[in-house]
Amino acid sequence: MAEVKTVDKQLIVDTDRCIGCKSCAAACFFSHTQFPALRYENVAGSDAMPAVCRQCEEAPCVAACPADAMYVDDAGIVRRSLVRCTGCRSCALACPFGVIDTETTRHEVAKCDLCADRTPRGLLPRCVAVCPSGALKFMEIVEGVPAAGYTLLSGRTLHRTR
Amino acid sequence: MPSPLDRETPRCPLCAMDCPIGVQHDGLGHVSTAFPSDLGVNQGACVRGLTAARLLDAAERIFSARKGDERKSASVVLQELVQAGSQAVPSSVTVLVDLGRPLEGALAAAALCQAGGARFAASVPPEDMALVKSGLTRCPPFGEIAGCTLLLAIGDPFGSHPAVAGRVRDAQFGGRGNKLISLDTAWGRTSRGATEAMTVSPLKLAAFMAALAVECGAGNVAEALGGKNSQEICNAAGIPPAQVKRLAAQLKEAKALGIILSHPVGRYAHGAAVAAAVGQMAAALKAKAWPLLVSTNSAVLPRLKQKFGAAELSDVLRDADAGRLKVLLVAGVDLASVLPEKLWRHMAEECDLVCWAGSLESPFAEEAEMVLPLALPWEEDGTALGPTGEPARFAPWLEKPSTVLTVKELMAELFALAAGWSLKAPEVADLMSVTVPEPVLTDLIGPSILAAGQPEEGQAVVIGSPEPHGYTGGISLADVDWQRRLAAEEKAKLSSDLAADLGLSEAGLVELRNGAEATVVCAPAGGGEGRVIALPSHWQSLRELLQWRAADGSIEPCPALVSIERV
Repeated sequence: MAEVKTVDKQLIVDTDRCIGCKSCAAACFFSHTQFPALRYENVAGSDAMPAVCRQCEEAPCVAACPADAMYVDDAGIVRRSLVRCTGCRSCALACPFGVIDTETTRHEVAKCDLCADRTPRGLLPRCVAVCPSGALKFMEIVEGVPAAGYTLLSGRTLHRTR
Repeated sequence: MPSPLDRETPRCPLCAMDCPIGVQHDGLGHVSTAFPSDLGVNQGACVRGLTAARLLDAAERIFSARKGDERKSASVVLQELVQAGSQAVPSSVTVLVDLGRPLEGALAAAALCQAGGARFAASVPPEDMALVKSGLTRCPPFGEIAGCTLLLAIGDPFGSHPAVAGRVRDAQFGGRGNKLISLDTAWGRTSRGATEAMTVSPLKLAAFMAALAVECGAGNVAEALGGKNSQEICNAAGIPPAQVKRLAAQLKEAKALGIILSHPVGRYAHGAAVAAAVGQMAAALKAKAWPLLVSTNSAVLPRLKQKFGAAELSDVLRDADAGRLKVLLVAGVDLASVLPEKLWRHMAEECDLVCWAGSLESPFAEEAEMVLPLALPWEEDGTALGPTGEPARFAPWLEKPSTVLTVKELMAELFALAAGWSLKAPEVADLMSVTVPEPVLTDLIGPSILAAGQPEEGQAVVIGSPEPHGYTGGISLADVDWQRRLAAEEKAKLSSDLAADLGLSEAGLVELRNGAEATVVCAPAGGGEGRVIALPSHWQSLRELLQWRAADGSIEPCPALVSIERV
């Protein structure tokens, strides 16, 4: 079995580069059994931005889940267990960023898994790989300090400093 | 379209950006796109390229031939088609081929028509016709965009060609003082991301570009307009001269200027004049220009005309109007997703026999007397042009199913049935050796671009908004689940002047009329000049509302004046 490496990088949105083409949402949709875990939103101050899971260190969704379906895997990715999930949506309510989607027909929730089949092997998450403008990045942020020329709007959202 | 340096990586054929695409097959018949972490020159595929793989196993796929409602084998239908063709006068038989596929198919069709005396016609996306007419079809490698200190984006390239955004952003943020100036007819994706955004009326952009070109030193443009200077051009067209002068000053001062020209459906009138002005301006300023075609193969149309006397789609429509077209074979292009319904239905009704070789069911397939199964563009091996205009191998994504034909195979089988021996088609190298005269500037830029009518109260100009949802190259993805998911989010966009006039501060319904009618959901876009409504380019109602015949009888989708009323 291949060694699982902890994923140290974080998914970052460069709000200035995003052009709202929705390719990230399309890539997520088609690769996750047609259930999107990444939405596209219009945000005040930035007309277009993918809304994606923050992979919180102390994830409220994990704490809120009554069925132990939300957990942190060996690679450090917050994930949802398909088998254990009852569709109660406690995680969606608990998420302070509103990035857990709910599907009422199938009684399921959609949760970004950071493309757990790719990132522990050193590959990019699919949304990052397909972004045509370079708005989505997968990078390390050391001690909360972003790369030069950027400011952090939130834990996972970069805004370019002009 | 493919890079000559890499002959094996599949590429997306849906625009001119040459994006590498990975496709994987799970061995159980299901195909999905794969996203390699390193995607080469362009970082990734837009939603069009990503969703195109859905067509490979879509429910609407055509895998077998039919005549009327009766399923028959392809060989039987081909035999009957040959019989019908041989009974008609050869000059009343036309073969119309989609140029957005490997060129060998078009060359085989040309050879077939030459041998049989039939008319050969080549179809390019209507969006590309302006660039083809102006001769502005080649560009430097897209990676060089990142080296520009000032970029002028005309139209909405982020909307029509999202993969160009990465290079533009690299340029924009690559150095202190670098700028992106957007010049468009509505508030689009590019405008939102630009350092400076200007909007011009869709009916006046050609005059604006002519004035700008003259101000930047393009003397040929001034000559074409009777020696007018930029001030006189602006006065004649009702454009503020100060706007033109200010922009020209910035362009002239730029250390490394790049001009990106996008031409989505019906975005501005006199598209060939805009393209010609851009070409002259780029030459005068020694700037690099990136004209964004939908299909890079469109550039080869003038050579096909020169060598084979190829007709255009507009010629085919004229022949049908005049009763000169009796048997029509259409290979590849779905006319129902390219033309307004009244045009393609009229053509189909005027013909005695329409045979459509296509990949997906559509209203045009239902209208055709015969249907043959055709491979998708990304299932055909062959040669295509790169963005720099050089031929390169187009590597297919997957092997085609055994029951479908490529365009080349279709033409070869028709020839074998008709003649009894094998078709010998010309090589691509033969085609590329043809020399084509440069377009005459006065044919493209003339006084007509200065006389633009403006919408009055109760009217609006309707244009296309290039939303990158699904395939736009002649095959409609309107019913694909991804499209349906986004449908609720789609609205037509109103310029702020028009929204204020209609009293719409949020989403609402409006009715549009100009001979065709449509009721559309719209919302204010928060910008734009004049009274403009932009409909998503893949909405059928857009095709119906645009103006499709220019004064010279050519078929080009142009902005049109419509009456508009709040419902």
